[in-house]
Amino acid sequence: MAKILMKGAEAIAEAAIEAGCQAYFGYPITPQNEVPEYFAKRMPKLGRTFLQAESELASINMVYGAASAGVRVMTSSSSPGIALMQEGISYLAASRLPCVIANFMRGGPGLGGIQPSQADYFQATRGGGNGDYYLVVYAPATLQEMCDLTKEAFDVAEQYRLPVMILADGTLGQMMEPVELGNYVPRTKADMTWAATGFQGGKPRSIINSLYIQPEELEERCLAMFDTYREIQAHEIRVEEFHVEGAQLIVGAYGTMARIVKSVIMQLDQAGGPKVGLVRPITLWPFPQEAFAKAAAQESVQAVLSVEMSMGQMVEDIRLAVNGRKPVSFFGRTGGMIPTAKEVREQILALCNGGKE
Amino acid sequence: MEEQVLIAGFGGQGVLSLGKILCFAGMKKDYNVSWLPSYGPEVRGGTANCQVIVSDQEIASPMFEASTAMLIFNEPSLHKFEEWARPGSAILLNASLIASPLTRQDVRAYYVPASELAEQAGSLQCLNIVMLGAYVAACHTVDEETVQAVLTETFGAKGEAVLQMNLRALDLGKTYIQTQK
Repeated sequence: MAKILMKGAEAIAEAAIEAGCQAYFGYPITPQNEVPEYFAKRMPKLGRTFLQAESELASINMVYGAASAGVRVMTSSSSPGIALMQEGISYLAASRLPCVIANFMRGGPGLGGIQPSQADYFQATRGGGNGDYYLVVYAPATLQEMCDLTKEAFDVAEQYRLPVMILADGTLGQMMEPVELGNYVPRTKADMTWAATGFQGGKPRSIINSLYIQPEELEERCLAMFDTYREIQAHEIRVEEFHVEGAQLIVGAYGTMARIVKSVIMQLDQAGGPKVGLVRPITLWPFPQEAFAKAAAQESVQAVLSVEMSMGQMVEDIRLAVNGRKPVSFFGRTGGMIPTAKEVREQILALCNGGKE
Repeated sequence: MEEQVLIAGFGGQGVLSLGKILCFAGMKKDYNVSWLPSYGPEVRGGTANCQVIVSDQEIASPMFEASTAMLIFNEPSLHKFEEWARPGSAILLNASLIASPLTRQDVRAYYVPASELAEQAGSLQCLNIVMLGAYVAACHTVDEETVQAVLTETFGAKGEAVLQMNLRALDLGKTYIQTQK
């Protein structure tokens, strides 16, 4: 199929529709209003459900309801809206319900601003709600990757029975790039017999629940969830490595930030500058620990740098992965400011010259 | 080849849609393209801008530090973005609305009476296409036939009169640059 020029917020919706998303519930917020707008236009024509809820809290609980019935369901929002959904997300994880949640991050904390940010990394990867749980968190860097990962997210959510988050930023929602759709290759359809789809003349009762008063029972449920998480860690980690071999400096960055870092690395290569490698996590959870550990362990590597649109969140995972073998430093801007290529280049050059420009 | 175009003006002048048309033209030539708008508290009459990249390589960052071409539709945008221009790059200005000349001496400046030419083509609404015509003649990233094909696809559904007006606007912008040389 030919590539079409689409806005990120529209492309993700079309990708979800292609993956068979049957219902979308959401509440508008910049910079992703085009997601509900696009679903509102397309879903009724397909005989599927679009509903603008009265709040984000209502949206996520509608997602809970639809997911309980085994329906492919999605919601999207931006940072403050995702914060409002955290209770529901914890319940979805606890009740082992598959769904896809997209967060087009904007500056925070609080109501913050509307410009792009990556300051919800902790919230996404550590479980923003209560209790012992994780989401699978994808961090696309291009619109094509966002489309491909969104389609896969529905399959992964059903295969492991958990919510999957697409963690993008405002840039990916607002920019346009050509995308190729219509190329979805689904995974083997997961067993969905757990879904509450009615008695149907003798089907065992499907109980969707997150309340377990007996601690022994609750612990058992949590342990089972963590068995699943280990399986995910073994099979689903995704990472892109760019010019890592023999590099003097390893930069960690994801999403839009990784694209800026990549352009700086390409410029440095052309100018005969220091050899710099990029490790770009595509899954933020599970985190590609081994890729960072291996890259940093190379003899050529003197230091590791995390570049983020935040005050430094992923850098903590990088430090855990590098485990003290090499110094790990951080550079970032926050509040909706995006580190420029010039700023990133200066940071890189300073580190490569032992702190001297 | 990587062309990094900054387009800036008032909201409502067709700044963002011009960027899209440039992307479509680049795609027709099998180039990689990206379009990044300013977004925020923008309103009609406020400022709007977009960064468009047309490249024969993979586009890493959709943001650039210095433009290889700049299309400036109003005076506030000129003051805001003039310093972004790469030395030797092209700056096309809507001279109908911009009274002050460029302070930069190291760029190729093109002063286009775009508002007048747009009205000559039929409506001030095709101001952006006049600027596109001027850009095609000044920079050669995409050729006129390709842009004409994109305009036909873009405006075809709006009727023959609208399409012809935009094709006239394209031609007027292009011819103006060619006659200035």
